[in-house]
Formats: sequence, structure tokens, C-alpha cells
Amino acid sequence: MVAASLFDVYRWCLAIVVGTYATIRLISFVFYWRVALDRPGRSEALARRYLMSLLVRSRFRRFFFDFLQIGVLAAVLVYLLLMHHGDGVGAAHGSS
Amino acid sequence: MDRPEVASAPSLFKLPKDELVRYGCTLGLSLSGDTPHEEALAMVRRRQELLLSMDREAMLDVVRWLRLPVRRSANKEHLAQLISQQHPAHHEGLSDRGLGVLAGLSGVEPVSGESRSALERRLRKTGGVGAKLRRFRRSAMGSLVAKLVSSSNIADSHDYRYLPEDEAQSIKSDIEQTGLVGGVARRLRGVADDYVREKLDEIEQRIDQKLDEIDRRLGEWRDREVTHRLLILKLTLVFSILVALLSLLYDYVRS
Repeated sequence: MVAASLFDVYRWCLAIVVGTYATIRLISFVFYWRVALDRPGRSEALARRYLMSLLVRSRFRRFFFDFLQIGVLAAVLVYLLLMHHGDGVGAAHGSS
Repeated sequence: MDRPEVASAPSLFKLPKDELVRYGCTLGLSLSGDTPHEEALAMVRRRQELLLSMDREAMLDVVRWLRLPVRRSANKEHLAQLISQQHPAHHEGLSDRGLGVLAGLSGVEPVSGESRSALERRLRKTGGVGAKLRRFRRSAMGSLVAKLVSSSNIADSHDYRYLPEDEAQSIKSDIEQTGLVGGVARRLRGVADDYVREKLDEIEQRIDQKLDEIDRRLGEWRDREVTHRLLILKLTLVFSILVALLSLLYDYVRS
């Protein structure tokens, strides 16, 4: 029973730690840029607009292969998670 | 023989790379920011030596033949820059010395005793298959447009004329109009205005180039950051998959 919950404990711990860390980092990032760019003034407005134009000009095609890899990896992960609940291989074996 | 305004070897060596590339472009070289500094330096020096060895009248032959708008007093650098931008498919009507200039600026080394047709053939091969296809496309398009526009032949038949020189109005006429002091002052003011205008244009051009460079670098930085973030995401997914596989294997062994 203890052995069975080993990976569950690991997953929960990882999810909590990583989730908390990622949330804190995201909030900190957004807050930093908000403070940096939300000041009144011509130069800040200019920087804001330039930053927007810089973001808008980024091309999806440039990172297409990276997104494709991430999509495939995510699909594989979802499939493996489904297999843990018996919905993946088990179901496939059952049907065959 | 007039000498082009060449930068000396030590001053060339001291030039930063972007300035060197810009200077190389004014000599008609096709340099990019990716060209290594030493290579760009060597290319600029070779081009300077080539320009020194070239006859200015031969360069004017090419310019007249290409019907490029230029002043008679234009220096060799300017002529080289204009000629280097042109890649004519045919060379009928161009003098032999002009063909030599065109070949030299296109990077084709003339061989002693080589016939004109052989040189023309080598010159046409410089751009490779891409240039040949481009010339063919332009030739077809040119034929089509020439058929549509009937007056094009009339325009071609005009004799070539140089652009008017800056000193078109003589100092004599200035003095006649406004007196000695006024005439000289007008001429000096004109020269000073021209100089200031030229310098301001140059400064503006440099600022634009610097801004473009900054923009390009920021774009590269953005792409690098996105790639980095995506790499972290990929590594996380790979690690999660490995752990999931391990967990699955554990479940299988346990059962």
C-alpha cells in the first residue's frame, strides 16, 4: 500500500512545489513589467508601444517545429497518464 | 589620374565593423553584417586597389552605356557603387574598356588574350543559375512591356546627358547679379549649405542604420528568449514522461 502511493505522493509534491513556484514567478514577472511600463511619460509610452510591436512581429512559423515537439510530447504524456487509469493500453488491449 | 577618396590602411583597420561594411557598400561591395571583420577588411582593400587601377573614363563609358543618371564630376567610388548594382544580360554597344570595368567590379578577373565574347560569357555566368533565371524573367517582361509601350524606342534613341553639376551657375553670373561681395558670399553660402545638408543626410542615415541594428538585435533577443522558454517546457515534458514511464513500469512489476 505504501509502495503504491509512492508515485502519487511524488506527483502531488511536485505539482504543489512546481505549481507554487511557477505561480509566484509569473506574478512577479507580470508585476515587474507592469510597474516598469505603467509609468506616465513619453518614453514609457514609447517603450510600451515598441514592446507591443516587437511582440506582434514575432512569427509563429519561426517556432513551428518547437511547438510541434511540445504537442507530441504533451500527447505522449496524456496517453501515459491515461494508461495509469487503465484507459489507454488496457482499453486498447481489451478492444483487440 | 584622379584618385578616389580612399580611407588609408590604418584608418580602415580602426573602423568598427558596421562602419566598415557601410564603407564597403559605398564602394559597390555586397557586404552583410555576417561577414567576418578580417574578410570585410580584405575585400575593401582589394576593391580600393581595383578602383585605383581603373580608368575613370572607362567607368563613365559604362555609366553612359547603362544610362545611369550621374554627374560628369562623379568620383570613382560613386561610379563603382552605381555600376555594381547593375547586372546587364547583354553587352552590345559597350566599349572594351567599359566591359573590363564591368568585369572587374563583378569580380571577374580579366585574362590576357581573352576574346571579348569569352569575357562576356564569363560575366554572364557570375550570378549562377538564379541570376540567369532572373535575367530571363526580366527579358520576357521587358519584351512584353516594350510591345505595350510603343514610345520606349524613342526614349532610348536620345543621347545620354550627364546630370547638371552643382556649379552650373558660374560665379561670374553671381557677381553680375549681386556684386562682388554678394556673389562670393552667395557662392560660399551655397557651398556651406550643401555641405551641411550632405552631412545632415549622412548623420540621419547613420542614425537610421543604428536604429535598424538595435531593432534587429532586440528581435533576435526576443526569439532567443522564446526558444529558451520552449526548451525548458520541452525538458519538463520529457522528464514528466520518463517519470510516468517509470511509474507505469513500477505498476506493471508490482501487479
